[in-house]
Amino acid sequence: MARLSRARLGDGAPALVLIVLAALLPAVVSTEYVLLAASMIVTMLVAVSFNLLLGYTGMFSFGQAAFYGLGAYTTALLLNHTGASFYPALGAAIAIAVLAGLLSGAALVGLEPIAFIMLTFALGDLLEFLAEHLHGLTGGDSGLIVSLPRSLNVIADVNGVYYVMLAAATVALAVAFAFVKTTPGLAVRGIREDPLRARTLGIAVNRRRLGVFTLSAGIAAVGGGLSVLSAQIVYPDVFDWRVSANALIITLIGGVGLFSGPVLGAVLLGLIDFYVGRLTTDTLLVEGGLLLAVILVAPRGVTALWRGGAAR
Amino acid sequence: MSFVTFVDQLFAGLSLAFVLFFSAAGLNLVWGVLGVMNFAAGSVYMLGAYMATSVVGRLGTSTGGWIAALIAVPVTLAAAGAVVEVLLLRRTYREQDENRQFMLTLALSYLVAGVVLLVFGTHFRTVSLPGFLSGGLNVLGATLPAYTIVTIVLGLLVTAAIWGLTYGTRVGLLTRAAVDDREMLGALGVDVNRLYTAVFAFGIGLGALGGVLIAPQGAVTTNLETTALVPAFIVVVTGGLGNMTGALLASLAIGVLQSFATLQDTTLAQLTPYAVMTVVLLARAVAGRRGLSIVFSPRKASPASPPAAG
Amino acid sequence: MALEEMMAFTTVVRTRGSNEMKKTHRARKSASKGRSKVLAGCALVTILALVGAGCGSSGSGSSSRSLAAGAPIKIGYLASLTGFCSTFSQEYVKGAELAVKQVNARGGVLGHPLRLIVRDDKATPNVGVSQARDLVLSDDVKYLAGTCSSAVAKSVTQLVSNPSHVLYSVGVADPSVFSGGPDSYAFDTIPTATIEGDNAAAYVRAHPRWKRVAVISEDYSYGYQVTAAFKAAMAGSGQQIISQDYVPSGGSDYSSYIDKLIAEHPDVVYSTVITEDTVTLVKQALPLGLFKHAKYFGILDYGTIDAMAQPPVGAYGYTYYPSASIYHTPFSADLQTLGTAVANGGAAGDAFNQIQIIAQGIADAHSTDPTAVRDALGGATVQTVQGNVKIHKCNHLIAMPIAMGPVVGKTAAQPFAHFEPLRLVDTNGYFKC
Repeated sequence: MARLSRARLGDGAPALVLIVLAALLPAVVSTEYVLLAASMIVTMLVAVSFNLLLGYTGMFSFGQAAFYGLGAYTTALLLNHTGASFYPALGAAIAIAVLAGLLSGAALVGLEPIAFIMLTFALGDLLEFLAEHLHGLTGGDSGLIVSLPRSLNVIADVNGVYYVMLAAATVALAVAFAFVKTTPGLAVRGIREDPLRARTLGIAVNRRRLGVFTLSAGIAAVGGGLSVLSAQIVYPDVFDWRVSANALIITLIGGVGLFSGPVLGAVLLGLIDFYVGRLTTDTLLVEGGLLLAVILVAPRGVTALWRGGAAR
Repeated sequence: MSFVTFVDQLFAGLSLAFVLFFSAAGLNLVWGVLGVMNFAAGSVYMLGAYMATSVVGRLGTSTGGWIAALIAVPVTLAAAGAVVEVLLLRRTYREQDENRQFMLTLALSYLVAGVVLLVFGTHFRTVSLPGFLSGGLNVLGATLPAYTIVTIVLGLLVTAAIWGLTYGTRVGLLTRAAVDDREMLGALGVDVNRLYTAVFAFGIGLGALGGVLIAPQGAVTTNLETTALVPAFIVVVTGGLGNMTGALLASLAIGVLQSFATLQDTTLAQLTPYAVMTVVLLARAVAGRRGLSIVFSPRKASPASPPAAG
Repeated sequence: MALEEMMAFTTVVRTRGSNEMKKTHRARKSASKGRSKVLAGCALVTILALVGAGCGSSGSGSSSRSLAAGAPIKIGYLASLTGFCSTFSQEYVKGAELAVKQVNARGGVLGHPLRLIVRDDKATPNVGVSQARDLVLSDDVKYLAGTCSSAVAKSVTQLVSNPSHVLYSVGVADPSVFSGGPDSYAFDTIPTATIEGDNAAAYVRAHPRWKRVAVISEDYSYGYQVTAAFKAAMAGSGQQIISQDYVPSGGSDYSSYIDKLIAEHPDVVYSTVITEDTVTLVKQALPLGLFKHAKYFGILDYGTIDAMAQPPVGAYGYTYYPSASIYHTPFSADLQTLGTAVANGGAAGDAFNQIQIIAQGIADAHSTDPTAVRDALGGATVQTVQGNVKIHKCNHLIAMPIAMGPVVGKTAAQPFAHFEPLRLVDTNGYFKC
């Protein structure tokens, strides 16, 4: 455990470097790349929330889409119906996702892994079903157009919106980082390594798991809330299991269990998606091939790959 | 509800049940024995359906054409599955690396979908049945499509065959042993690699068979991949990993319940698979906590956790 | 430029990767100090690739507004090559390509050739908007067309009308896409769900013996919109709507839905279940005997009924795609020269019209400025595959005729399943401008 605590201190550094660079981005690149970076911020938050679960507690959740979508719809609905400004709306969305995470987590975290995977998956699908069918509230699959003040209109002020997103994401990342570097986070890590041993050491395994599940729900909700800014419209597919699967791909590409893994993974997958979609219409073939290449070349994720290089 | 409506709806439930069963059977076998969650199972199913349209399209919609498709397509895809297993999947077993397996099968599903688009194009394909299978039979005043009878019989045969293979042959014995302890079996001199290749190929063949069977039932589109994959996972998990009888029972429960739910509300009926799965999983968890044994106990899969890094 | 740098970037990752692979296996336990440095390095490389790519293309992005003489007019085409409505996407692309080919064979528009840039929107709003945005920003596209998804169209319409001023020509059924009024830059090329439902109700009203009507639709917004319009237009007819049911889009087994319909004893089933789902519905309804119990009336395009081994002869169908007027015509022969079999024809005709409308608008406006083109198209009569059709100024909806009639099998004159007698409904009456 002591070995773990020291060895992990450095793995937040790349994320920090990336945030600094991201802050400089609008000065050097044109609008479409700022928008690309904005979309990476969103996917990165979901992936970080996913990695908190898989990488630090060993819980494989297909439910990140549920909390991401809750964040998006709550933010959008509050902006549309209450005249709230963005940050309070985002805050309320996080609160609701955290509450949902707490309630669903209480029922789920003690289950065996397969049941946990499938029921977190079902949670997202159930919410997607509701979003598709509660036309009065969500507009169904026609989507919910979000009314944003001009200062938050991504078309009118790309950089302004981008910095709002970056700032909120930085706070969320800092919270996640603080968690994994302090005692509760390390205890949780012990659970992943050996749940039985952790339990005999007196760690309340399921309570810790519930804590991480709830935190991760909150972070996914930040991603959802921010997606409202860049997309300006919310569809039921925010709850789709592909959102969670995408978080998984990002985490695995980047490196599971490393704080910066999903951060780098989101940048890499964002770039792949962006360029492949523009270079070819055979996106499935190319993306499938690239994924296969990544698995063969970097089975532990690109972050681990570089780490291996460093060891020499 | 009149008696005829009841029987009609029951038949519709059976039809749905066997569609579900065939989408799940291959996934079930591979997951249960090899511990691999094959995310390409939906793609195999879709590819099987597309290949059936081209085999039957070439040979004609006679009985002969269909029998050829029912044999050639699963065998071809099983062979392709064996190659994939040897070249790619095999290297992931030793470390029980579920994450890598997930990425691998996901990448394969992209590739298969990409190839299908390239070869068959985006437009849907249709293929029809021999005349004697395209009608309906009057049973107790209700209508039972002849083709539903075929899928029911084939479904029962497949279940019985797998049951027989598992409990009545040496290969089945070894497979069961491999599920319990792969390393030990290897140490005893059994060629576990070959066994795994065979099981994987068989699973892929089963998935392809499901695709061939669905092809004449509607339009063959790329949507088949996802419309098959999600319910297949639900059926497998509900029935218990690797348990073919369990998968059959789960399919029947979901199919028949969903059919009757449709009578009440066509929209809410779509939630039936989730409802059944949730009830079964929670009941199993509660029973497990109380030390009760359940009708079919699932394979104890290792948690989907990453290998210890650092 | 941008592409080359991306390529260079991936090559870096790959070659590094293959060198390091074995080492990773051997030396998994590494020192944390060096690790974070290299991690930071990785981050830097990635960001630099992004920055480099951005710089590379930012120069070309903002060129002058007016087009140089003879320079191509770029049209971005969103094709849903993957995703739920992908089945017609290749036809859409071929139809658009045919239009471009024909316009260019005539010498282009105002001396400019047309150039089509096709992108896959995956039938997903986020992807569609991102592609559209990139076409506008990176490729300096002033004209967009395509998508089969109303959700994508809605997102793109939001993008194009403010403040980009990009003209968008698209055939989707959701009327809310075209709620922007005369100032909107979005133009419709097919009847909306509202017009479709209204028209279907008129047809059912014309058959007073259909007293009990069961409605079956797709379980998404299109199905709900048509059903709502149909119900509203049926009010006071004396004919009873006994049920409204929704089938999941892309389902593979509809038997329980069909049995439910049979159990309701309708005189007619009005179906707005579309394309491949119609095939599945009809194929499974035949052995279950639905067509013996009730009349079937619904959206059926020529390609779809012709693709069924047993077309639902005796059913009544309509199509808002132009398929009825172009199936097995010189138009479809032209399409086949581009290497596609016209399975439906309607989708290809629709895409052809989308491009054709843009070309005519530019010619009529004597300008390549989208705002001028928009003003020229509002209220104009445009040439389409189906003949001359009016675009209404107040809402940019097109008065595309709806083809309908009883389904018959192959005949000597028309060797494919079709409507006979064919009736073309003038939809001009449905516009309240």
